[in-house]
Amino acid sequence: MDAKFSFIRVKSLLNRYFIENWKIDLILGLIIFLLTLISRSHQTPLFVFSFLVIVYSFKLFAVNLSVLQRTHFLMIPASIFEKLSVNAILIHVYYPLILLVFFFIGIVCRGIIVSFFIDKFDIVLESMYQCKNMINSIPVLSLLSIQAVVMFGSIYFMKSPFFKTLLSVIVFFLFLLSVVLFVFYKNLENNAMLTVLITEEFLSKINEIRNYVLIFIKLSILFYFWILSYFRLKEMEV
Amino acid sequence: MIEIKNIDFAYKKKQNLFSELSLTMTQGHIYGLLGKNGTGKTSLLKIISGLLFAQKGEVNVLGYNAASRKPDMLNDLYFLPEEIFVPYLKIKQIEKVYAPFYPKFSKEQFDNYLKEFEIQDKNALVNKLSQGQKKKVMIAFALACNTKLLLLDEPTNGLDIPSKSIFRRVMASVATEDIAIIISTHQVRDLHSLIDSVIILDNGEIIINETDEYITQKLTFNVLETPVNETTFLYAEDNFRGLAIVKENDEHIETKLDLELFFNAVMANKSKMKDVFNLKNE
Repeated sequence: MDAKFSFIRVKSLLNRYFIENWKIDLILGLIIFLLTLISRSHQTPLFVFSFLVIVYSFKLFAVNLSVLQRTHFLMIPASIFEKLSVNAILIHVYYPLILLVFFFIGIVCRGIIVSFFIDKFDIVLESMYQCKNMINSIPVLSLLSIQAVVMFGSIYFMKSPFFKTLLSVIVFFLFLLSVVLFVFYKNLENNAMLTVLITEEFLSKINEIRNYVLIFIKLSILFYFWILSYFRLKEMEV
Repeated sequence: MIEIKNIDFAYKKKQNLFSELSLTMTQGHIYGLLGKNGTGKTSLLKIISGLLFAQKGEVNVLGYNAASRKPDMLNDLYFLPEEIFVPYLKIKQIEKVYAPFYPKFSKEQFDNYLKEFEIQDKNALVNKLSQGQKKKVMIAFALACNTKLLLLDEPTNGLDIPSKSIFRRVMASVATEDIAIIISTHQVRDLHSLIDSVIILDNGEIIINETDEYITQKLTFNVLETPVNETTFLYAEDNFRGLAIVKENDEHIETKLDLELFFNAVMANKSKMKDVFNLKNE
């Protein structure tokens, strides 16, 4: 790990990001705003929101785009830990928040427009209800862990990173699925083993701990891929 | 300032580019890193700046292991590659965004260098400029950073003739006792009268690493207008002025270093040149 963490450099890195990218962020925010304005439910904006957040994680480092960009990124006088921290803030906090802000503005604007046509329409209540629905619908931890995986793929694969990341994830899950199926198949052959394993008590316990296990898995994926990304960037050559 | 000790370096699946390469560079010099295309000049600059890692040996730059790419090393080192990536920003934004990373950056100097390079409009988008103009902006920025170490890879590529001469003038003005500048080029003529130390790379090996003063102590560079029957030349070539010759300086005559002639002489007669400079022949 780098010895000295400098908040001044972090500030400079954030400043660099905002000056270089504010226009594109504004455009994408406006897309969410317009979608919210014309959509009946929050499902379409939610889908576009998730899509943009994932694509954003993929594009942020931009080290796979060209040797020149990689050189440029690595030669900025800040440690890899600082660069990674800034990108973590941007990927997990700033970008989802900025899109949500545009979504909320869209909801309010839609409410104002609707209030012209419907009497006794409570803009505040309706907007709050829609926003609550949207926030509750966002699979926060899943999205964070997917972002981390995609972000690592963008750093790890230098050629066709999007395709390779997608392929790796699919292959990994197919492998996992085949392992699970294999275990169950073997157990089905051995009924005694299965009855020992799957009991009422076992199933209720599984249900109890399932959520905690899922949270643990998602958090593990999140941190694991950020740590991998750190070492990948540390060892990256041009 | 730069100490490279016995490094081995190879690109994946290829044979070694550098084997047991050692090199020391000190502050207060403008080094010309010369060599033909593909001899490893850019690779060496990348190893120094920490963009490539040697597989064996040590690379110490400004007191840091180059591969660690510590911020304190990077903010005192500026590497300007041959082809540059420039974000979609105006010149004044480049200054605003990147200057804070370099503690010794001088806005005044940046403006002066831009003026020297005849770039007036700081509101111009750098990406919309020609390749040569872009390079001038980035050279001006690199110089204004006032880093202790400046690595320039083929900086004159893409510059027009007047700009090349401005480049030489500006570079000469920034050279001080505190900094080291390493300029890599295969266009030897562009560095004429600018560099004070010459490093010649060939096949991943350093053939020469000497100051111009030492070179002219050891060799003389002359042009003979009439042909002579003399066989003591180390190297001779015809040019439009007559016969340009390189001889051992047995009579301790002071002549001016002709960089291109010297480079050609070294390339034509490597082992003899190594003997002259008391370097080990392999």
